[in-house]
Amino acid sequence: MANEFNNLMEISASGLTAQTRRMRAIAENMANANTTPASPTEKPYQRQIVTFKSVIDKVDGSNKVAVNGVVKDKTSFGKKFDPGNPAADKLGYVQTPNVNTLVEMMDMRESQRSYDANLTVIDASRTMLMRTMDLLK
Amino acid sequence: MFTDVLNAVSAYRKAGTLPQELQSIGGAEKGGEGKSFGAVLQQVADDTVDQLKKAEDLSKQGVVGKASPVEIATAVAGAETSLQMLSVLRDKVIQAYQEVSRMNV
Repeated sequence: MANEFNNLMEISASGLTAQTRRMRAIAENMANANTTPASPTEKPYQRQIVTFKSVIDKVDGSNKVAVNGVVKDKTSFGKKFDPGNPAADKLGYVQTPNVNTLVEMMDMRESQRSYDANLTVIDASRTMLMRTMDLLK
Repeated sequence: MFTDVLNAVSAYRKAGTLPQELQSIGGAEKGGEGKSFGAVLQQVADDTVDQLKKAEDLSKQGVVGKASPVEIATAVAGAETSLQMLSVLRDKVIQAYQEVSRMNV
């Protein structure tokens, strides 16, 4: 009956779920932006990146989005002079995470806007369905 | 009571004035022909009950933190629109029933 509209909602919902997962990675990056290693031999926190892929639903043929994977950012770590830190090397430098909070901020905004856009699609399709139902009244 | 309504609907159908789009709702894949309004209504009702149950189950899981808000929201919104569709169709049946009962024989 209202199948096409249910599909619409599920497609947009897949977008919401994907952006939520991305938001989690951003939150983890933000939270660990200052996580230095425990010892000089260990590595600091490595930034996570969420990648998406398009998935075709075998039941209704709709093209949804899913999380392809969570990968580690390969850019090099930062360095900070902090001789008192237990993780400092012989020269007194500590490796810092390759997280740039400004970049994370941009990613967060993008994710937020994308989430909003998907919500708007849901809202619009619901309005379309309601207006059509009004024809029957 | 419900069978009364369905009788009225079938009488209405025999009178040949049931709108075409109502006859074919949900039955389009079967050629749109030969499906009574009662059967259509039945199917819509069944679908709606299924969706409502699913939404309820998800809501319960959501309370204990096992379902995501997105899942719950889409399931509940889907069930809600189905229920509204059902009530619109029900109104149509009642209207048909009243139309028939007002008919001069």
